[in-house]
Amino acid sequence: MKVSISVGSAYYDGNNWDGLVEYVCAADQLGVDSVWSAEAWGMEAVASLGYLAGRTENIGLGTGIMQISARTPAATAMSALALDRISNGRFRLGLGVSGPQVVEGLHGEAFAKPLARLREYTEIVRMAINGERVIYDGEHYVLPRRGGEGKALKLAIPPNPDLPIYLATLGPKSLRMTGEIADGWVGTSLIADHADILLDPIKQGAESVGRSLDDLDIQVSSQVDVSDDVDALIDKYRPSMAFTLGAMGSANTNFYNSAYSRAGFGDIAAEVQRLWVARDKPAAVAAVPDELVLAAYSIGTTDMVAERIRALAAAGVDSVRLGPLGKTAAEQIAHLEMATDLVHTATATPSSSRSVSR
Amino acid sequence: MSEGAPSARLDTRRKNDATLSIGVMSLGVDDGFLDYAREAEALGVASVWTAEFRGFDAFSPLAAIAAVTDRIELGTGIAQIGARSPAMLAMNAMGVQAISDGRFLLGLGTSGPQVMQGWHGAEFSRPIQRTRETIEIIRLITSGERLAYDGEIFQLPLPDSAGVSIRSIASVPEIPIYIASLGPANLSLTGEVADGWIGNSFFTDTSAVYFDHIAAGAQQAGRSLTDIDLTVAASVEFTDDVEEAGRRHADGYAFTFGAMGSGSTNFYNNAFARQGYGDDVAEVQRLWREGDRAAAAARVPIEIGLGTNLIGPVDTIRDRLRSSRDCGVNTLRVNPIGITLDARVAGLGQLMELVDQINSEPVDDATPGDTARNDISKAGRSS
Repeated sequence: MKVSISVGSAYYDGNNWDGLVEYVCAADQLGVDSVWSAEAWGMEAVASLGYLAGRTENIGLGTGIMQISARTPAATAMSALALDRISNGRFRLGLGVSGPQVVEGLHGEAFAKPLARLREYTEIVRMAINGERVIYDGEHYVLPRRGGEGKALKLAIPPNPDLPIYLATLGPKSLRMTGEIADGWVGTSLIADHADILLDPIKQGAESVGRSLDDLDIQVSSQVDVSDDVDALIDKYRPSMAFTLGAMGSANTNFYNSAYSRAGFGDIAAEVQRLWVARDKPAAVAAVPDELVLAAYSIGTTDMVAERIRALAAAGVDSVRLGPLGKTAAEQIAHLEMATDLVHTATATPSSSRSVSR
Repeated sequence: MSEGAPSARLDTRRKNDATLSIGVMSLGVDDGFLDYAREAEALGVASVWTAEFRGFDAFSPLAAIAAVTDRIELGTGIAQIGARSPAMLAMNAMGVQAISDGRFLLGLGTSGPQVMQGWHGAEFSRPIQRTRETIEIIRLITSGERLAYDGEIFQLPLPDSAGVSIRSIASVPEIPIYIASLGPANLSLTGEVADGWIGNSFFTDTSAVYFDHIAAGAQQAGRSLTDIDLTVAASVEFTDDVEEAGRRHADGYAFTFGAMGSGSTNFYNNAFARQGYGDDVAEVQRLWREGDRAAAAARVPIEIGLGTNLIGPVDTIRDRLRSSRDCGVNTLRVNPIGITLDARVAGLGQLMELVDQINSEPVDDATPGDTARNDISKAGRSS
């Protein structure tokens, strides 16, 4: 199993930037597969990777994700090709739809039909990156724009048809589309014991176009945190799960909430969201059961974490994505070293995976 | 990020109009672009500028340059308005600003309808109003305000939607905004709202064609021309064969006049017409359209090649630098001088020596907008 790391977006506020660079450089040395930036309200995914490309040698650089409604498909292709060239081919383009609050609030674009928009957008980005003349007549995107002076144009620089495109998706139809058209999946909310709920649609989509799940890089976020005080760990991550179920997205559209619902936690997810929306955060946090926290994160004793990691690998996950843990860069690097070692050892070979315990 | 640092730098750029600064155009993302930026910084170059066409975006290369430099300012020259939402422009700007310790300058331009509508599939209507509103939205976001905007083009959040009026989670940076403008209305907008001007197609002896409009816009906002950082693009070529080099640079304009823009919209042609070359430019465009590119190139007056660039022996280049400074230009954004990295660094070094020389000279009380006549351009003016 590969290890990848997420550097989010809030982190590269000027204050924390130097420490973050140190963390990523250490990850590069530790053989971490890839580092993923993110976009939120006020922070974007491109600048950090451009900088990190100049400071690292081997680590893959991915956007996890770029919001499609924030840029034209051509603009996204242009950033992707620049980052690809700057990093000597280490770039991976992760795309996602974000949510209506941000898309309609911040970018002023309609959010309706996100699945169809993501498909058309990805197709156009691919055309542009491949160096094809961009002519597209979709339901949501028409290029050149009708009734204007626009010309059908193509890249003015060398293309890169091999540039991998990852999609961040969660709903059954969008997962299926990921299997059809993407090179990788930027996954969240995957519970190893119910992995088929998310991975089967990807597999079906891949098979529908003559590919298989193996043709995609399946990457899933699951923080690794090791301690013998398991109860304390559960309490540490319970608020995070409550936030995911309650606060992400709107009351009508919370992709994470519905993904956990499909994994059998529907009643719990609904109750946590109800309490959160009613502004009773303590009750919302308390309503998250131990079982869900233990299933969603790779936390516990070393043996428990190794078991979680092996379960993810067995389910078909190629890469586990970790976040920085600790206040200082030194703490974060120490955690990453431990976690990378644990993940690699747990999944190296059948014999070594059985022997992992410390 | 140290608070107030960008503001101090901005003051230096604006107020110190007795000296000329040099900025360099970045080399795209070719091999060596990072080395070139590093060498430029070591030579005392003030800023490095990226462009955006149908290739690499303007922000990623600056982020990479930020990783290998400490002092040089990083400008987009320009980022295309309309290729991203105004909010994403703000976010891109804040991203590079956060990782460069406040060295970023956001240069914006409208591009043209062919690229905007063709390549991006975006609207191009009302480009000046679009620029104004985009800048207002960027400033709302970067000032840490909740985003609510009711413009003629942009309404945020989108009316009757699930959109939320959001405040940026990023720390509040100062983002100097530059506008690339050529026409009177856009120049006026630049004077009214921008921190700097990204100029090109510029002759020192007709600087008033641009500066009068920028000054008028500045005045509307209770400011003056000296509040705007005035930057101008130029190629530099050290040569004794002025005729050959001037002719070659003139030839290069045939594409600009003939192929850029559409029949109805060529911002460059209009700008040259306002500087006295209307008949020439129309004729070049006609010849190009008829398919006779050689004749079109030959028809470009050599004065255009010589007047918009710095071409000639060392003494001429020094004079041209001086006239740029004396007419009010704060920064020359120069193209790479030569083909190899070594040649480019050597040429830049030679240029920086000349700049140091003229900057240490006693200065006449020339004020921006003065039409300090340039001999080369004037002598050969055909009209």
